[in-house]
Amino acid sequence: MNLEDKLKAVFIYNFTKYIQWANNDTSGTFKIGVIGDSEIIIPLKEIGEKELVNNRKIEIKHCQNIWDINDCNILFISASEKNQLQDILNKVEYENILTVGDSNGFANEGVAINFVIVEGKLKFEINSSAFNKAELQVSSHLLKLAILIENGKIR
Amino acid sequence: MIFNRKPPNILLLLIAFFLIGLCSSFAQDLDKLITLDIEDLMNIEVVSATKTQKKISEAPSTIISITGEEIEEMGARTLSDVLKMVPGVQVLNRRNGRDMIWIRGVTTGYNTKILLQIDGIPYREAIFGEWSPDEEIQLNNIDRIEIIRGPGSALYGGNAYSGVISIFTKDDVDVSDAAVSIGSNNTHHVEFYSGKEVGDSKLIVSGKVYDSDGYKMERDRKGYETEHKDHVNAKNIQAKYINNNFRFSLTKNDFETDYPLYETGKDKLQYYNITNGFADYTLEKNKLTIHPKFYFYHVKHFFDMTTRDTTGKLQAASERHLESMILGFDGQMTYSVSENNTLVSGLFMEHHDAKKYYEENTLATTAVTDIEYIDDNGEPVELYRIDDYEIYSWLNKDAGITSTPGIVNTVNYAAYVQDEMRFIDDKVNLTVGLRFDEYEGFDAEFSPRAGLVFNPNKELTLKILGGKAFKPPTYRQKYMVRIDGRSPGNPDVGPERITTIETELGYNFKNNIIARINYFNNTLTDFIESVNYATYSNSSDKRKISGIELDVRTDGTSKIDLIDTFSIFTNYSYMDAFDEINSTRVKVPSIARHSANLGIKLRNRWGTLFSGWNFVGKRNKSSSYHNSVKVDDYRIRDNKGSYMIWDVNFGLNAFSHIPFKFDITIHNLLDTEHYNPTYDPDEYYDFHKERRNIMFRITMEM
Repeated sequence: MNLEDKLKAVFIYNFTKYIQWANNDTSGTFKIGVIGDSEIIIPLKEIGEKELVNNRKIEIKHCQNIWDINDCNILFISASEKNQLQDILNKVEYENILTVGDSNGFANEGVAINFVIVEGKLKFEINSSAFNKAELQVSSHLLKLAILIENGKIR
Repeated sequence: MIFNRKPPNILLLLIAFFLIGLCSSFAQDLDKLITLDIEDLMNIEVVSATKTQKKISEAPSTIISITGEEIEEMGARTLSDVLKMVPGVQVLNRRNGRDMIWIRGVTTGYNTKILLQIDGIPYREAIFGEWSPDEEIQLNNIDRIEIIRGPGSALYGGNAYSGVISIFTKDDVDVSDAAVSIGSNNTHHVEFYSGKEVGDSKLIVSGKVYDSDGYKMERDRKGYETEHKDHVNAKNIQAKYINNNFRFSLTKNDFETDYPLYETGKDKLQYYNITNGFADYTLEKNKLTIHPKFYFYHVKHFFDMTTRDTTGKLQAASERHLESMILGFDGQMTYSVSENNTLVSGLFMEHHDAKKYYEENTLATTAVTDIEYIDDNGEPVELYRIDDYEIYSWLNKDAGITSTPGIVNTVNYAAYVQDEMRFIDDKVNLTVGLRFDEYEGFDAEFSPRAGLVFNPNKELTLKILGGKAFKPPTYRQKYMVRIDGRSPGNPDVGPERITTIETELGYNFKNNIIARINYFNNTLTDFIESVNYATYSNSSDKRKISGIELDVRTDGTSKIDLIDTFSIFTNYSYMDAFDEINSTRVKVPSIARHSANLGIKLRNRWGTLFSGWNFVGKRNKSSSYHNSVKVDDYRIRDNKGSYMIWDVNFGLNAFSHIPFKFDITIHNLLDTEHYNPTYDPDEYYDFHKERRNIMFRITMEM
């Protein structure tokens, strides 16, 4: 487990503090799905065992295929899914799911938040139209920290 | 000083590995990361652990990458400060503006055997083939430096002989900062960087002004007391324009320096005005990327040397007038033949033009005799008028003394191709390359290179590399004429050559520790030399240099409350260098057999602390060591023992409500006395390196 995976996992946990899901159903667990090959699942599970999101327990789920992703609150799409990214995005379109990508260009393709490395540090891009489609409200503080992407262009 | 005793290299290594082991035991603390807010998380470095490292592990070369932020955290003032911490690199001070960088034991006086590139453009003066690792380089606009240890002629051509130093400048926009530093030796330093986005273009301007009296030399090169200081004044500015795939850059570097090793009364002020620029374009279409670039590098250099008596009266003077220009084109094409095969090829042309070159002396025959001057022994002394000169040194292709001095130009053409093939799910990567260079005056030079990189899993890397490289003769070595007939150039002199074999074993341990061990074996032939002032020619001697480099680094988060994150790097280099002269082996003078470095960076929300140790082992002496030193006490001194220098930088950015950052940097904290040889041969008195130096810096971000 390397530092980058741990950091991404902590970022994802932190995102939940700045984002509101339209679906206010607070019963049950808060589900974070991971699709593709990524070791992020290890730190995510570790966080899930100790932390809560809005007083809900966190459940980490390794999604085997695109039919397995619809009941997530957050979907982490690893870089290995580049070739089937559009299939995944079509599947979650207009679903109240926060998509988080892990490869250059994913935000341009329609992923809501995407990790990038800038000057050796982990930063994140936000595609605001993907937020609107997914009916997710994002705080201005998070937007201020992000690299904003709109229509495939960095603002 | 305790560190001047026996080489403590083993101890240093043990301490380093102990520290890495200790830190790694608490490296994986997720609980700590959870407590940090999102702004703090965004300030943690990750690149050395993953992406860049992955690229480095796949590259068919021995590469080390240093980011601009690491440079800032180290408190480095010049590129020399950065390079001294790299395994296999020895940094020697000689005079301001012309420090010498030796990679893997390949000695050079003017850095002619290392290719320096900034944004892919070579930095090199056309006549002496030199570049400066200190005054010429601005540090505050650097995104990263990649240092390739080992020959790179197969891609980069001549001069990439012992290594390649590639600097990439920042493209950051919507950022502006300015820094002011003051420090020891009446040093003042102002730096600025500003990047703006205008429409869909980026405009970046950065620069620096540096002025320092420098520290006083202990002794001059002959062992006498001297008043000389290591004075320098430098001004640099770069403007860069980027529009999508098009880039245009213009850089101006002006600096003046004193030569600190002369005796009192003898002054050599040097002025360099360097202008360079480039324009390049990247065209990407399907599987093809075409990247043409044009560049120029223009140097005006002037030195003014005067010798005065104790009363200040002029006794002799000489001047150098130099102007040279390099115009270049490199058209590179990258084609993805298939998912597992990438072909790089290119055409290259460089036009070298010595627009002006001559040196002139005060004219002995027009000595001013009407000024009466009697020296301490009661003898009359002839004094010279400073405006009467004769030319005594110039360039000429025909070696005739009546031709116009200093007009020489030549062209270098080249073509190169490199194929990178990946097999077995990218686990095996084979790169083969060949470059053909055509120069005036010697047969075409072929530089082959091959690299086999084996990545059986995420953790392990094995590299086997081999190749040939060359360094073309400089104009000085080919076309220099001197009226006294000393060391004349030889138009028929050929290139120097190097053949190398390298292996590297790298392993990414759990807990984020990355270790690499290299073995290299270089054979150097055809040295261009002038023995006892004879005509330059290629030597039949052979030099063999082999060595081992060990590099270990880690970073992570800590369990200690006071420290959020840390980075540690350590390296050790062993080098064995000898000449084969008539079947006897003679150790190469001035090479340190052992050297090691340790750097520890600790960070928390209040700031950063960097502590770096640079150890240089005992260096060999030549049989003529100190022969030109005139003072007995100093002639018998041995200044080539080992030393260790401790540098510290403390950066405070605690005041988040104000946009200021404060740094205190102490170079040579323990005030250790240490030296490096003036050059090979080491017959002059050694260069007395800098004692303790303290700098204070305030950075304002806008």
